[in-house]
Amino acid sequence: MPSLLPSSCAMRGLSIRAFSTTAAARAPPRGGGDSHHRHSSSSSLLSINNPASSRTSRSGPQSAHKPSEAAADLMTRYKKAGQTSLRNKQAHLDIMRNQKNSNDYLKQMPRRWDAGDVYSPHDMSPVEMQKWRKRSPRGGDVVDALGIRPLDMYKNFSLIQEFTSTSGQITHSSGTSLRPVNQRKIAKMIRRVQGMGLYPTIHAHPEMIRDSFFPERR
Amino acid sequence: MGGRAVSPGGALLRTSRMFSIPKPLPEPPSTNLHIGDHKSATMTRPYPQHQSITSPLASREKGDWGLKRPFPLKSTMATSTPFIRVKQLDTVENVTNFASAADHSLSLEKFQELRVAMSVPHNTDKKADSSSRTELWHKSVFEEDMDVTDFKAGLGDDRRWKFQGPWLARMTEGKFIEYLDKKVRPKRAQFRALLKEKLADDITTSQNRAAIEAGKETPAKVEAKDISEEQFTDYLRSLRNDRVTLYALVSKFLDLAPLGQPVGIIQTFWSNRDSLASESPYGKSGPPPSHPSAGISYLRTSSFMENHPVYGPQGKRTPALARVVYPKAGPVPPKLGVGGFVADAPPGDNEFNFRTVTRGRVSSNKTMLNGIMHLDTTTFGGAKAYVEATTANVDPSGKVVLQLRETSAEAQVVARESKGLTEIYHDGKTKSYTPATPKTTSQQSARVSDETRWNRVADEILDEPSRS
Repeated sequence: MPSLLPSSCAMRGLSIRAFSTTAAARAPPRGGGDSHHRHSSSSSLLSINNPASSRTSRSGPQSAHKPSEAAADLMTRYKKAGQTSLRNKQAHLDIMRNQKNSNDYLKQMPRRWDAGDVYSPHDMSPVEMQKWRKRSPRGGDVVDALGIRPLDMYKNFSLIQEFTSTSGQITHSSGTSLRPVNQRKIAKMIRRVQGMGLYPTIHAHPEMIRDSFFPERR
Repeated sequence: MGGRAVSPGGALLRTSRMFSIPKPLPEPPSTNLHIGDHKSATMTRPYPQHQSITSPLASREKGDWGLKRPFPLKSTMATSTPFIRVKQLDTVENVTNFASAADHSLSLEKFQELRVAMSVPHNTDKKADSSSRTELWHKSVFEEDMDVTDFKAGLGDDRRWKFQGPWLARMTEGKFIEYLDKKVRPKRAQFRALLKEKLADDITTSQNRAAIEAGKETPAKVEAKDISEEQFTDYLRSLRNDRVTLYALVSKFLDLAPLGQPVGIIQTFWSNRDSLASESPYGKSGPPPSHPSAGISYLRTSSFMENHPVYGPQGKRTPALARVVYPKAGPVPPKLGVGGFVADAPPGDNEFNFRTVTRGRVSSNKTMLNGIMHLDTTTFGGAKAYVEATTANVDPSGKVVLQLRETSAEAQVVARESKGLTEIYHDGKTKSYTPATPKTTSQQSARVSDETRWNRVADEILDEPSRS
């Protein structure tokens, strides 16, 4: 089997770098000739991941503490406080904008990943993500899985709604994916409950469609 | 049994491993009930169901995959990942139904590059006694005392990973009722006989103890047939109130997979009983559907130190670049993808967690990774970070769950350098690191002048032999 991934080429670049004798390789990559201006090796190593942030954080103007300049000091502090509040506000706005942007994109990624899922590049594609948007048709027999007796479920309106259309008709067994025995039992139960007048025959149960008529005030 | 459709020789060949493709594994069960009905038929499954087949290039050019008929060159030669899975060798249309198996094959390769050793699930809520010492580190699934399936093995019995009976926690109600009807009810008489024998044993031991305490001769052994019906009924009633003993007896009789222990007062009762659940490492998490290694890694341990050719032994192992697959969504931790396996972001105080209130002061994590709180829409290819995969275990639905840990800054730099992204190593001189101390400008200039002098001295000394 040919190796398809680039096998861990961990040492390749390094060995060339370390043991080559070309002039370009021998020259110190950073700092030039001035060895005393260079940072120590470990400090530069630690800051290499975030080169921008490490330098700028420490540069703060040192305020003078002479009594004659107290008023000026107060003024600069006041200005600085204004600046920080402005900066905080901008940071907050940035966060809000990021959040909105992120939510907009996440709407296109309806898959909720679980620990242990395996993905390949194909799983990240928009085509694949669209498949996670809609509910897939039920596979197994629900009545068998739950171990319920359908004829006893006549007061369970949410269950009846699952097996009837919005206009109160019994769903075909191709839609319910029940086995024939259970489909007959469910159909019998629905016929009974509609005959008894407990469940409407031409629309869904009023409790189920209540929200469309009386939307909840927020 | 239906009649045999083929000759005995043909049947032998068909069932032999040499000439047949193994039967596909069942579809992975959906663990989360809420997202169970949101799924895709073409997604990559958590584990491969079909065998992955490949063929050398010379044979592939002829379409020869060692199967019944040649494969189309147009699809099998145009790929850089020549792996196929055969879904059906013979369809009614007289073609072979096959698809690419590159997804799982490459995932396996990536996983083995991570060099992760599989371990048994870590029980966090163990009582702190002698067993707690072994809970400090991950135990390999290949340990001799854990890697057993033998039902009759005396000591290792409660640490095995395979059980005859089902795992009741994962059964649906309908399946459970069916199990009760089909499997449990016919064994009723057998269990009563077992209980009777246990009662006889109990009576005998209590009689013997009483006799020894009274200094008398031990009475005759009580047999199961000597026990009256009333005596037995009373015993059954007492057992019904003693759930712990009854559960231990039933689970041992039916060889049920261990269930989690109830937490609280019951635990104190539980500790001095002989029960299956207290010892099994799979009591809390549930038994794995396959061998707990799932055949994905055969490493026994990850307790080794990596050696770098220039920098020497490394404190941390080579980290892997993880993709932030999904940002943090409410209480759900952000999901990272390592080598094609989705895992929870490493817990603790690191760049993957938003630091909250610590000792009264709220401090948000300044160095947090970009894609954790929100989806990173600016980085090309999405947010990525280096993590270290410590171990993995197989959960009851067959998923391989990786455990991640944050890695150190030095390990990240070394990993980036090995890929040629940064350059740290150089042949020049390096200073040893001294912690930064506040110093005045005059001191600094003095130091600089000292250093230049020192350099000049060094130059003089070093250049002398080369000139002469």
